[in-house]
Amino acid sequence: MGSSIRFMVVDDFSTMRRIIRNFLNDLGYTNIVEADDGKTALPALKAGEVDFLITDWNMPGMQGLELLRVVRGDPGMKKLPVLMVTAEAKREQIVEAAQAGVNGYVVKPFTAAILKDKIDKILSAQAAG
Amino acid sequence: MDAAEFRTRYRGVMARLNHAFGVADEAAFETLVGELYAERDLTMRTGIAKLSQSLANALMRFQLDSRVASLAEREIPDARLRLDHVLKMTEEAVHHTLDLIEQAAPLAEATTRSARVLADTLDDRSHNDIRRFLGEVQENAERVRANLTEVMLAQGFQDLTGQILHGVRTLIGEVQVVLDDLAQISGIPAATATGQGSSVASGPAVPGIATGAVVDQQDVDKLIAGLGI
Repeated sequence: MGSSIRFMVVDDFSTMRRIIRNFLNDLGYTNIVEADDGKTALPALKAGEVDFLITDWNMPGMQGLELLRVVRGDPGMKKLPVLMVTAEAKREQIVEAAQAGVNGYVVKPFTAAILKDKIDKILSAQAAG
Repeated sequence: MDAAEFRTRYRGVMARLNHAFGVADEAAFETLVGELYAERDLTMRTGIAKLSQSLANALMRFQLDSRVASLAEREIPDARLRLDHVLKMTEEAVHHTLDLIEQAAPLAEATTRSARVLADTLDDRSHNDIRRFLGEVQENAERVRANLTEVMLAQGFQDLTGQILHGVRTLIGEVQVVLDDLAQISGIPAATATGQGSSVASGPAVPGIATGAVVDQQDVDKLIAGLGI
């Protein structure tokens, strides 16, 4: 398994960060950092310390969509895979995230199979691209 | 009263007044003026009745205003504390569940591994029952491991309920601002507490609200022992 991939999990709920981290561990990914909003996530992202970003949308401070736009607007980060894992489930929100360049979108609550599927898809598309 | 009503009401007395005036019958004239005063008195009494009704309504409104003050001063802030407590309790419960899952998952994995290793060492021709048992152990431990993952993901409910509670908390905060303003504008004094009997069930104790609430099982035991039970 691709255990060398460096993940970042951004969510304001510590329980959700822990759930996703544990799930990534189960999949064999052990290199994981966490942040509780977009602002606290950015330094490590800008420093190029992250290969895969999993972010919530609705957070105090900088929201997930804004973080995604900052990432896509920065030459150094724009190719970073971004998976949004969020309770925001309105059609127009999903469209908005897609237009902002998200690589995958998982609506909470999610199952193990769904999360694994989205992560695998993004990684294989990246390997092919 | 309208014109017709006015004429009907005063036609008789006016005719008699005119007549008494014409014939200079002073006594009759005085009696008729007295009747007119009485008529006027009745109108006044009706007015007073209306006024007292308005006063009663105003008093009723004042009681409602006291309810506003009670909501603004105590009940709404209490509701926010209750929500904060629910947020904290569910978060702690989820972390505790995750602790237990993190402890249990490696045990299930180790059991699967050990059963496989042991089964591999057994001679294919013998120990059929033991090999069957080890196969079951592997299968069961794998199922337990998979269920632990699902239990872990199910804990994501706390994120969802927490977001909803945050929303309700914000809404309550906005209502409180409005109520505070209302109470201030009307200059209503703080409401007197509506006494609630201790035998009324009020749900789980919420820190910062519950008074006289016990803290944990030790406190309960102590209290029970103190009561001679």
